[in-house]
Amino acid sequence: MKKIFWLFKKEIKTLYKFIVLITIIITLFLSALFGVTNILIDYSKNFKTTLNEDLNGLEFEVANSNYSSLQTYCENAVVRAKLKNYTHTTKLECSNGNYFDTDQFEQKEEVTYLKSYNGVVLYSYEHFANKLKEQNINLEGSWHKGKNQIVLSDIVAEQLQAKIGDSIKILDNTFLLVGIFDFDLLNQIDYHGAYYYLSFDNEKVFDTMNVSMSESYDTYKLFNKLKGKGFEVTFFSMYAQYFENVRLMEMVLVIFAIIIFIGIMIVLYSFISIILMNRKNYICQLKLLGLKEKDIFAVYMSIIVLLLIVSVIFATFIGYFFNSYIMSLCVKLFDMKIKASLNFYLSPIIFVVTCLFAGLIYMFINKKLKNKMVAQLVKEQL
Amino acid sequence: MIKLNDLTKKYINGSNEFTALKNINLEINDNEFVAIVGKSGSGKTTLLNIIGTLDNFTSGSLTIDDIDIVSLNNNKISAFRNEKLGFVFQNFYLEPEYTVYENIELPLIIAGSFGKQNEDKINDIAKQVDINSKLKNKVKTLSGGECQRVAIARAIVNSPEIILADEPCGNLDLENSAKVMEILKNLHKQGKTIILVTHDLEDAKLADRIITLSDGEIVLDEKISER
Repeated sequence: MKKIFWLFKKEIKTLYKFIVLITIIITLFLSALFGVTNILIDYSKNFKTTLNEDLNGLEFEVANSNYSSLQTYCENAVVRAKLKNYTHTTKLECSNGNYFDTDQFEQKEEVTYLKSYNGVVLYSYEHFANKLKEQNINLEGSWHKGKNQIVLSDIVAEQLQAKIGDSIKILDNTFLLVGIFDFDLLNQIDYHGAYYYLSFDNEKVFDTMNVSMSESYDTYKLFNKLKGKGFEVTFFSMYAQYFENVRLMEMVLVIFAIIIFIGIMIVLYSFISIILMNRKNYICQLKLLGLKEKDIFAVYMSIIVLLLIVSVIFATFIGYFFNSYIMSLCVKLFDMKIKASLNFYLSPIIFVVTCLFAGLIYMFINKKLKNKMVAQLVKEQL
Repeated sequence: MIKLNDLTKKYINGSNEFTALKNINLEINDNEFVAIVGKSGSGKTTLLNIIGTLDNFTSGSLTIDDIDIVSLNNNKISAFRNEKLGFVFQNFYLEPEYTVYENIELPLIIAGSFGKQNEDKINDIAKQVDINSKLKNKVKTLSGGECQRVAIARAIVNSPEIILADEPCGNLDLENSAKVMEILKNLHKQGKTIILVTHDLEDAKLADRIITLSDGEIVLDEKISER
């Protein structure tokens, strides 16, 4: 150990100008890597909290209580997802004996409306009815005029095989079906908010979650989370471009990080190549005088490790400031609720990975230069 | 004692095969001063490199002080080289950025020796080779003759039993050559085994024994007293 330290000191003294130059270059590369990785981490960290809150608000009910995960629900039972304290599901029963599960049921003062993936059931929703009239909705029969009347979308009516004049039971109330309207047109005037459709077997739709959110990463994360849980999740086209942009941003950041890492490897490769080439004579002397191969490796790896320690320390802070700057730009430009943090654990991870790669590069170059054969070196030097 | 038994060295480059040494049988006793001479390409340096454990051989055996070199792994060979062998080359093989002192100290450091004991040893050796006045100078500032004396000092600082010198006077003028040969002779008197590769017959005549190589074979092995 003492002899390695002695040789290490001497090599630092001999090569210090070159080592300083490479340290600066590696620091710049590592700063960029830390910056980009920090953005990626903060991006998920900032939205993890809100995402958890979103998911906490969801209650998943299953017919079969023997379950362990959402994926299991999908495979074994009917999934019902609803927003806690917001909506719940109900059932429409037609006088002809058919029934239809609705997805969302909401009571707002005097107004009650029910929505489903396949159609809309309206009940005592004057304001909405007026809107439909304005939009010139194709209607068979007439709009409902009292609390005991109801209109259905054509899709729902078809599923119930209901005709005008049939009675429809919802919870404890019975209504007279007075009209059937065109759902597609209605869909066009539907309001803001993201819809998540939870489907089963690709065809049967058992339930719908109606999640009204602002255009943010939260929506995107929730979308991904549900998708990851095995649901078939879709969203309205108004969000498609936005989600595509977010996905693109993530991809660009990851590609950026990979390119920067490759850049670091190229710099390290050049550094080790130059050192081993330029110090070939010296390495040959050391071997000639009986220094073991592993000791020579230890001397040069110590230099690389020192270089990386210095670079990583500086890069951690430079990367943080870089990240802060980008985050503050995002806050200003896109009104995002995100902030930069100093992710210290990144430093040792990147340090260890870089060291491992540097070791491999050293062994590769050493093998390539045939530095192991002392006689070969002696001949070349002579 | 150094013992080579039916030692052959072949260089194989694709389909081309070149035999550098053919069935060499040789014994070099302790405290012997042996000069190996021959034309360029006769295999002198290859033989020296093999004896110095710097190169491997194709067949045969090499034992130094009853140690079969083939049986040693790389780490043991390195330790063996550090302890038993000292090298002097035509091109000196010194580190120009180090001082004379640091260059001479290098084998001691590799052997794990540090501090005052090194200082005494280095001063003593430097006096022997007449370089003690330049211990603090960087090697890059020295003349060829001085460099070679530093190389010799470095070769002997660890008190090796065998000194291997490959054309040590090749880059030196007559005066410096004489000094170097004088040092080698003194080392021999101190009990070291000296193996000198040279193309200069005058230098070779200072040895006890001259081995002449031609096309990888020993064509003449004569003791000076026999001539």
